[in-house]
Amino acid sequence: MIFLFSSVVQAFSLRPAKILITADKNTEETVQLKIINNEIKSSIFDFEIVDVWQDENGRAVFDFNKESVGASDWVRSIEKSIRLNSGEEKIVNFLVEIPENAYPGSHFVGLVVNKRQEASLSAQLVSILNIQVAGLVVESLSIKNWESTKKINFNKNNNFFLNLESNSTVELPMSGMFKIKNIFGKEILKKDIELGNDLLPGAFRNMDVQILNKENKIFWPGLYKAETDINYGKTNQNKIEETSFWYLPIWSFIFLVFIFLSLVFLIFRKKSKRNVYESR
Amino acid sequence: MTVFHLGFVFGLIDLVVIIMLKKISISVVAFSVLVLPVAVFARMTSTNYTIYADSVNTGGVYSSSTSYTLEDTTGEGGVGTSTGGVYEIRAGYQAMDLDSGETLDVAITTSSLDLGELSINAVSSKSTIVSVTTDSATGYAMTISNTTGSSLTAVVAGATVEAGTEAYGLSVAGDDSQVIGDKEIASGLTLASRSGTASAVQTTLTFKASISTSSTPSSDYSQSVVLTVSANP
Repeated sequence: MIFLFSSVVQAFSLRPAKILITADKNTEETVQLKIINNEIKSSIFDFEIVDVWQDENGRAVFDFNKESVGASDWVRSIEKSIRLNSGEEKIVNFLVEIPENAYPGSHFVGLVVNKRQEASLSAQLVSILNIQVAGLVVESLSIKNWESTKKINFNKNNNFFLNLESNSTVELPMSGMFKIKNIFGKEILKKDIELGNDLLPGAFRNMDVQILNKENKIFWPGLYKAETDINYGKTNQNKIEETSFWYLPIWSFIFLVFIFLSLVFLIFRKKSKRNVYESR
Repeated sequence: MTVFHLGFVFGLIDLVVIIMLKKISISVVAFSVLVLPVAVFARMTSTNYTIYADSVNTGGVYSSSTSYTLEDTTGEGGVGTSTGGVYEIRAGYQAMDLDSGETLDVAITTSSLDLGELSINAVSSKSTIVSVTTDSATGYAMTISNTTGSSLTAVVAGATVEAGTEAYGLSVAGDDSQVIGDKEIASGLTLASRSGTASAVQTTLTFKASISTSSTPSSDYSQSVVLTVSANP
């Protein structure tokens, strides 16, 4: 039983890795990619246009199976393929035709550069093209979920789960603030939270917010509130959400046991004194 | 569509003379304006360096803050975009900024991986290193985008490829690895990613196969795997 791959070493580059164009409906634009063949032999490169969306970790997902209908239909490569000698670089052109019915906002397309190769382990590079169609756009964000992974914490380490959804027609730059407040509303802890790269239209983002023992200034046992404050978009809007959790450290149980035993001791002692007094 | 750079372009030697002497001769200016404007796309190369194009203007500065950078120029003539037929001219220093975009680079050390003749007594494996470089501040991701060909039974989720059991999968090692343990080689699997710039960051992919006594004897298998590397949007 034999199992094999076949191919050769390969290396190539493209630039730019991300492209932004802004255009009106019913207009044409040209974008360019520079391809560099870093291999020791000549290679043929083919081009493909695919739709792009974003996963919950902020990474691009490409529709290679053409299952969606998106802005990839607006773009075509002027050169179908190019041959590059070793070390050679060449600029390839893509024509973007914005249709009359395009809605204003950001439309993401992947410009795929594929090195032609047979039965092999091969790599393809994708440049992400953001086509911003001029017009009235919406910046909107929802906090779908914000909760403590443990409702009762016995130590100061704590994890919170945050799930965001973009209801925007453009990508959203985001920054976040995390606060812990005690039962009286006093702020105990405040820190920035890293929300990653821009959130694309219609995308979700999952984040784990971790509070470490050393940075947590909680001391007294009790009910606390954790607040997340998300600032998003170029319009600088905010979304705030709260969740609560109990902090019950081990020492608080020991303290309670001590108090309980002390009370039992005092009651017992009082009872004993009364018995002695009554026996006299 | 072809892009030209227009403007009053001096030769590099003219510029050096002007800078060194800090004195602009009227005759040099007249010569440059009247004779050299025909020079377009003044690309200059030497063994180690390339000047993609040059321009003459009165000033410019590179400014930056925590979140933004700005490179401005002033005093340049004949700038702007104009079109005619299938041609477009983007004139001026700022229009020459072709190489300012973020780069994405991939290299695979070995893409010919022969796992040889499989045995029920051992796991056959072969590794290759994929190296990624990008100056994209949002980082990159490497995923499997396509697989074709015939292969053995895929390794079960959570299990490892072990001798005596028919299984085929891969493991990933490296700072940016997103794979824990052995995984089925399938489209959509993210192998590596990072949220910042990467300089020749290496990820080792190890392909593994094992057979059992019930595996089909004397069969040849081959598979084609396509990796997709992109900057994070």
